Amino acid sequence: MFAVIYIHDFSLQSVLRHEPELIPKAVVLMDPALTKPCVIQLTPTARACGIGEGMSPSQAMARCGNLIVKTRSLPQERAAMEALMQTAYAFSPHIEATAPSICTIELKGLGLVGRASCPVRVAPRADETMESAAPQRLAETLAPPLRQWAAEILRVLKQFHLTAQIGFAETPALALLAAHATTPILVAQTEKGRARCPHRAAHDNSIQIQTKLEEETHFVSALPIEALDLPFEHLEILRHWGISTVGAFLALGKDKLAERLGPTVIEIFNRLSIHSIRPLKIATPPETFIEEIEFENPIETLEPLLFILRRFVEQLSRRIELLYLVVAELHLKLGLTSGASYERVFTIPSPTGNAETLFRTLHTHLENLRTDAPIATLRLSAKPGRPESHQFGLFETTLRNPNQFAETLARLAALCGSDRVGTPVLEATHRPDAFRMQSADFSLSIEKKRPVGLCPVRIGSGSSHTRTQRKSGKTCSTSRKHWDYESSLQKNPNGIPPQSPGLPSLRGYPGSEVSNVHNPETIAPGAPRSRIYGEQFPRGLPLRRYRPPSPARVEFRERRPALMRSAVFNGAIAHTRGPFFSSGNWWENNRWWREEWDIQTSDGNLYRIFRPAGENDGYCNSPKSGRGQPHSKTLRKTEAPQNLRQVLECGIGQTGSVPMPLLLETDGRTQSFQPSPSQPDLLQYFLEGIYD
Amino acid sequence: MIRSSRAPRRTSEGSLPMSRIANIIQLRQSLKEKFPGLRINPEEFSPDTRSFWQTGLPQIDDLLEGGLSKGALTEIVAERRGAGGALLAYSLLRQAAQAGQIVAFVDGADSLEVTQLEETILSRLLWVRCRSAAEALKATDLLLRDGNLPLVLLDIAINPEKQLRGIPATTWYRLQRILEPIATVCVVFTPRAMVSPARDRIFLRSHFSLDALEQDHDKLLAELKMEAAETHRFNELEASAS
Repeated sequence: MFAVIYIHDFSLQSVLRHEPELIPKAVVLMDPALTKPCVIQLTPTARACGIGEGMSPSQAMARCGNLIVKTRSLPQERAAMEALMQTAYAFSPHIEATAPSICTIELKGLGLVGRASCPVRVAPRADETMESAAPQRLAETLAPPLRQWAAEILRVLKQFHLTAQIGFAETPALALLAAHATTPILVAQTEKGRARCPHRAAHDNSIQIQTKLEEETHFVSALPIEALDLPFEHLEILRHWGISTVGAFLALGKDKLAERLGPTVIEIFNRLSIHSIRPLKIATPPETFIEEIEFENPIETLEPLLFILRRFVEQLSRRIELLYLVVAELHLKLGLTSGASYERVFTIPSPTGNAETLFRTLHTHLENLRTDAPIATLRLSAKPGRPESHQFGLFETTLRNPNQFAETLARLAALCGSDRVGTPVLEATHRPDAFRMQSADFSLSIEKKRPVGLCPVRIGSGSSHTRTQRKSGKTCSTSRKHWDYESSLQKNPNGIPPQSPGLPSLRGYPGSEVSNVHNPETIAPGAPRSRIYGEQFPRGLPLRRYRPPSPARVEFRERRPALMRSAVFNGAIAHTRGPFFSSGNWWENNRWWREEWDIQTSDGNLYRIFRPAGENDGYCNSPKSGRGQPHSKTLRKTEAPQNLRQVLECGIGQTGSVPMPLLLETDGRTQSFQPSPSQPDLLQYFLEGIYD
Repeated sequence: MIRSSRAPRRTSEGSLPMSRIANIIQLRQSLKEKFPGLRINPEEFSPDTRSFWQTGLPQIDDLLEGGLSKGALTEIVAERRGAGGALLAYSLLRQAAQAGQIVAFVDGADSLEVTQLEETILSRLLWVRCRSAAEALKATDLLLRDGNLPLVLLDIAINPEKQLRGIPATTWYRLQRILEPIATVCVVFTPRAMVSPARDRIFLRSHFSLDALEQDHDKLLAELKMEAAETHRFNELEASAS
């Protein structure tokens, strides 16, 4: 036995699927692909106004002032067909996409056929026979599984705003004819079926469904001639002959009709035969879940877009729910009138089928979206996934509502910028303040997210040797290099100790003796990497950074910073520590060198100042000068004492908001600067931060 | 202990005048009629029902009799830099990381030094880099409404005074109302006392020198000096009124 699900006025229903409030109204559908646009389908309300198929739009509008004209949309028909197939597949694995709007189902193996064909025998009362039994009692005896099965299909399709009709018969062709009948459910019984079930059931007057069980011959004969799907010209001929029913058509005879109308008639006769059961082309429903629409008028505001999007999200989640899956990803594509398009993929942190949660994700993002042109088309596709289920650690806390948190992150990104919200990840370099922001993802445990392999060594560790050297102010990175490497190898030939001092390319401050992560070939073979790349304990007061660093004019006296003028502080410097040199990436184009000082100003605050040092003094700090040679670009002419006030009062407005000059390259014009100790030097520094 | 300037003036017998008591009762009844869900009885604000988030620092946990209050604002005031505000913030981040908790750090001036934080902290850190105090408060509002995070730190300690003056006082009350039904700990780092509805207010009185740059964090934390200020509490008012 076969069942056919038929959606009448399929093109019109596809268009109105996302606007169900228009179904009771007068709506006609035009096909823009036709050379002469005319009405191809219309709602019952429009038909009641006197509008019919084939009318031109002006003719239709002349008959109904409130007429709504819609155009046919192939993408929406495709989506509706996908919904039909996916619905049918949820009820039977043997389905066929017979035609747009038609889906044939084979009931084999579902356990419905035998029960449907053999209603329960009702014992007649003493005063009645089987034939005179009340139709009502017979209707009650009609097997409920088939009716419930069909009713459930109609209910699911109703969720997609599709009104369908289901026909049951012994052959697919007859089932299709049954589906074309006006009743929602029609079961056409054959003699064979009646032989199995001697009782004939009458109408089922249930409120939701009107089920008919009819004699097949009688049913076919009573069908209108239009149900045979004949070419238009043949229908005209038959109407001219006065043939209006299928029964009259069959009475003419196959041969005579074939002579006059052609071989297509033979196929129709074969189709109506109960002995021709064509095999179904079993199809699996598409695994794509796409809803798209082309707006009649381009959309410029958010509200109408959200209105349609909500409908799309509901439809997609229901379709995916039929497969017992949830939505794991949403792909939004907006087509603009300018021809450009905007696409965005939304990964749902915790896959869900909750339409409200999915819609909020889209809503949050679209609130801050600005396009260059109005929106002409909208396409939303969903990727199904399994509901999330994994076991967390016993002592691990995680997010209670990942989807809510994702929405909060989206709002924060809209507020502060997507590059300013997230989890910082340190770069594998000793360049100060080297990090990148990555999107916050707390769905995995720390153990799962711990990277394998190289990890940057923390800055801030130190050895007593270095601190001693720092205090004496006699640090020399070049000599420390030789001491660090060779002496450490002598002391520990089997590997580099965990607190090995750094090399010139490494930061020499503040006591950050780290192993040479940039030159792994210098590491002794067999050295345990865990000792080299292990985390160090934090030291020193944390720094509150100024981003970007604040320019400062620093006056040096006796080779130490004495006065500072900046937007943060103007005044004397009470205590200093330094200088500390660091450099890196010297084998690349983005090499950098820095000279840093820790200072305590007269008001008691602790700052870190720095400036890029010259290449010549990058590794060797002359004890005489007490500082590195300034870069040519930061060179300031030595001012005579009588002009010192003038220099200090000129302020730092000249530099303005100068970006942190970490990428300055040396040039041949670097001058060897050897001022006399008696004259103060005024240099351009930068305030990196304040210790707190 | 620094008494709040809003402490009610008491009579010689130690209780409020009868007229004020009657006014309070009448006001409470009016509020209850107009806002049925509003909690106005002192029993509803009993500090004994608080739950705490232990910081791991004895000077705070003992000072606040248990730790930072959940569902309430805690203000940490560092009236001068170098008092250890950032040090304390880093300590809270480490404590949360040890507990495996996710922390949100709303950085009002984008000043967090991430290179001084361990990987275990960074992997559980949501860093919100704001450009102004107003932006930071909006971000904090969103995070508190989210309710997913157990600890939210708001750092506006080095924001310009001009930005801080532009913060309406009602903002803090709104944040407090958001916090009350959830178990989130919200700590606000400020350069002066400005969070009126804060349940606890701690003043940092340390003064570190350059020598502190070479000491371990544990030693520095042990040297932190702090004072707790008694904030305006409803139960105290009612206790004195009754």
